[in-house]
Amino acid sequence: MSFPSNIPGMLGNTDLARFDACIIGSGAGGSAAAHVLAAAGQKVLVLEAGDNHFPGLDRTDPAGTPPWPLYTNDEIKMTIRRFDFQDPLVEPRTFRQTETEVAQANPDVNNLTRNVGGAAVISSVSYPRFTAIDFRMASALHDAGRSYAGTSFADWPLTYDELEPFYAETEILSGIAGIAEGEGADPFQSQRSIPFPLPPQPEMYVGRVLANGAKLLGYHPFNYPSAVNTRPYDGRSPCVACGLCTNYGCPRNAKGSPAVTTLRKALLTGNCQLRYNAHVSRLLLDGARQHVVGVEYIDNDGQPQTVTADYVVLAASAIESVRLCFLSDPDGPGVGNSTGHLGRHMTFHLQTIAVGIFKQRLHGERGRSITNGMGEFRGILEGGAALRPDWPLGGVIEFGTSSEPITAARDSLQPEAIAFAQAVGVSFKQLLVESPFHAHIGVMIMHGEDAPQPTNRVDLDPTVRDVFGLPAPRLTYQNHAFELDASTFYKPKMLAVLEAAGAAYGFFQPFDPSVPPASRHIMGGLRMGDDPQASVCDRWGKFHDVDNLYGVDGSVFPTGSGYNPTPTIIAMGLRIAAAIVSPAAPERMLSAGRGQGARLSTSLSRRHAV
Amino acid sequence: MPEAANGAARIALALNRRELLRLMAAGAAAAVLPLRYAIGTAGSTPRPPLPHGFLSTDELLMLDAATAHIVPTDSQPGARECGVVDYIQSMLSFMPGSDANCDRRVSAADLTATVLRLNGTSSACAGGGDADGNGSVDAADLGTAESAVFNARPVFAGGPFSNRNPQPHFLTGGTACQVCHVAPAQQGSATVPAIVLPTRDYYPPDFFTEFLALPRLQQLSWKIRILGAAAVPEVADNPLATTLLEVDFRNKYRNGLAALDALGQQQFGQPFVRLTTQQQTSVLNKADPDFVTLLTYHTVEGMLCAPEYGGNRNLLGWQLVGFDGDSQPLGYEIYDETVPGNYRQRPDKPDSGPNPDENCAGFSRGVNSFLTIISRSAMVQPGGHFSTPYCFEVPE
Repeated sequence: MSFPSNIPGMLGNTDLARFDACIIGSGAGGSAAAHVLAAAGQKVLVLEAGDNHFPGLDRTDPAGTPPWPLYTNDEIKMTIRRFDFQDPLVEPRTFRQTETEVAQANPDVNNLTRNVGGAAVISSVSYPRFTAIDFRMASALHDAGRSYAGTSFADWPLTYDELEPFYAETEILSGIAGIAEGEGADPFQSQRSIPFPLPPQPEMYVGRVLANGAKLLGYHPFNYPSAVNTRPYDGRSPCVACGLCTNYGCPRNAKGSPAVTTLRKALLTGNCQLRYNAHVSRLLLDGARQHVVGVEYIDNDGQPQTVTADYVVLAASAIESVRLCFLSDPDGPGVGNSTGHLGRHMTFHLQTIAVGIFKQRLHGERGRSITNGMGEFRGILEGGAALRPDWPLGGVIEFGTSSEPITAARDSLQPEAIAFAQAVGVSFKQLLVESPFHAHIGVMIMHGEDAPQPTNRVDLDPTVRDVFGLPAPRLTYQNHAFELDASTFYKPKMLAVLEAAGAAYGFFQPFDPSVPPASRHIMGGLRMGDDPQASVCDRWGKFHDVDNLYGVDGSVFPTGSGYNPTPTIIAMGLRIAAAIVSPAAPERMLSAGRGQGARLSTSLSRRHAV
Repeated sequence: MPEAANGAARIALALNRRELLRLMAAGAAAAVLPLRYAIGTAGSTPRPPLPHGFLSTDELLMLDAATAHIVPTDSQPGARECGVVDYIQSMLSFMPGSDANCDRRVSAADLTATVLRLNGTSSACAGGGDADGNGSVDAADLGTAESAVFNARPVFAGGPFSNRNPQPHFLTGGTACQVCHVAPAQQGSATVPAIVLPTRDYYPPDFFTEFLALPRLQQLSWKIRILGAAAVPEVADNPLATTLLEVDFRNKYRNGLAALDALGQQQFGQPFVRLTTQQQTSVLNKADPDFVTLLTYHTVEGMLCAPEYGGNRNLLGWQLVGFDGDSQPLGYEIYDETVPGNYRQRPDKPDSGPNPDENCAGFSRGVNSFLTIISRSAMVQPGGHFSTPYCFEVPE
């Protein structure tokens, strides 16, 4: 076995030449699937479009510790120059609000990263679960007599209880810190089978200030569940609260992101090979277009390469997974699109962002990323199993701040604002020095649930192409009154929290429907369901139309909830992969992640057709 | 600086007896640590020579004047003292193909590799040595590579740490945290790293100075940023490659600076650098607003970047806005299994509480009136100015 790999562009077992599985994307869903499949003895190839900033990720050392990565507390590199982000100069996307418009190329569509480990590597790794009602939202709204014209709410083809063991596995694998019950727990979360594996995060000052405001109004702010080490865990170092967290990979691997958890475990089995800077351009299907025979990708030298595998797992993130289905069937309706649902029912989270400016310095550049939140504005009852009758469905609130001075200056001190300040006698330098939009800022972000709509969709743009000559994905998206009304409803309540917290000024970031959603929570497009007439994938993530193709990223979500989606993507990835290798009893695969050494033999029957 | 002395005192006071004994045993090394928390010095240093690279001396002087106009020097340092010109010059001088030996670092070894390629004595990696990206390796590439290696900071600093903060071993109580002390990865190396268990706090080497070479896609996109979309025919069907503000830097700077001079001549009969402050304001108000925005962006970047990128000289920019910069591997919470919650906060820079010197003074009158208007204006979705703001009152 020749790993760790010395071959540029590869990690893991570089000797592998025949693969059971080809996973497209090494993010939350793909890495979770790779972990389960490799542990079960499947030979797994992971193709990642982005670069690798975890050199030696496939390396073992005496402490079982992953080597330090190339990530840094460096705002120029990570945020300004977009070290990990998909670059719109070479990979454009287009946006329009309605079918009648001509979509325009827009740098802010699909604001995700492409890198080994996916977007969670640079996220705040805020990892709350969805709640029980999220899995049957269509029924719940129907039972409550709430109907919304033009929406396409659907129940998930599984329940919270079915996913719960996989949530527990996700929390153990990722090392999630939090408070499960009592003071500091989120009363709106549903039942859990285990406590959080790690003690709660120390609270940031800004989090305490804003949570105090919430408490004064009778709300129940909680310690935000996060995959950030609060003690050494799984061979990884404790977080030291360096402050530059969201938008930053962790320099000391204290974030339990997919790269250093599930993906690393997969690479260390010897059953997994990862190729990075490998940009998948299409799936190769057989003549009947019901079976994938291989995958074509473009390597770092710009050369096309072909690989074959018995089955293929799409985990390229919602917009890219959908795009690949269209790219792979240029003369037809798109892979998996026999009933017209491919790319539809896309949801984001409508972010309502309340900005508080405080007299004191809140030093958001110290601490973790998000340590406090509150759940009241989700609009559900305690336990997460029922709608709150008198309030609309909003989303979880994160208490955040600004940790990045360059970004704060660039974003908040646009030319109009500077000119305006100069008109009232305030110089640009004074704003930089007094820093009202950076050092003094406390922010409440509500991740409001978007109503799914069939008209909100991704397809291919007719004219704009990427650097490989492939059609860019086109996003057609317009918010529904469902989430806009909820935003309007909760805004005064958010301002009241800011005021109770002691802010001197409060206002909202303007909402502009003509720009694409800013949220990085992107879901839908390969909606899962039991009815092939109403969905693309079945309850096990397998395409209704193709017998060996699976979706494991946010694209399979029928609805988007109002909580951060990543742990649900991981739990679904674990479950879908477990069902591939252990269809009769997916739960049997769970112990693999707990380090007990229990591994399923490769002789188990496989679900997929070969 | 007095702040450093205060910080040291606070740290010492917060330590318990056992640790004080440890500190005394650790001796001078421990005493020095708090002083290193303080960043930079406010003292004025003579301006270093203008940096070589894409922009000419005349252009650099004009750039210096223009950025100093955006953030002027007063009782506190401005763009000039922070070295914004060096930051911009180094950015414009970067060439994407400078990694001649394809080891994914831009270093002096790439000059050797380029020479070997030119001599035909090396079978270097594919694409290596074509520093200017014109498709062939020729003599011009040597000069370009030289400029890239010695003058430009090639886009992405290395990691994971700079050498500005220590790994605070001596503060770690109880059992030493083994996973806090693993040696950083060597790029592309498969050797097993040694576990470093220092007997006292130590400063890592400055990994930021080891700039990373770029994979193909990032090379192409930085070619578009520096040279413009015309240099990359593959993006002909992507309008963003020509319409976004932050592309085609070299042409925009060359033309933008020339336009400032032309406007100065036209309005006041003088080149830009000779104009008075008021005259410069007049010229900048008439200049292409996109160029002024680009200048403003890059001025802020040059003031607040990590100093390895050429700006933020002596950390004056961070000091000006009260930002600590990169804090790893020290951070703001010291892991210590002997205390409740497993973390010790730094008294000089607490994570969970207000700054020790917080005085709740808020903002100047001018900024307050600006914020009052802003918070009620159509530039945002209005909230307002709350009547009774307060601070500190966060009960345990």
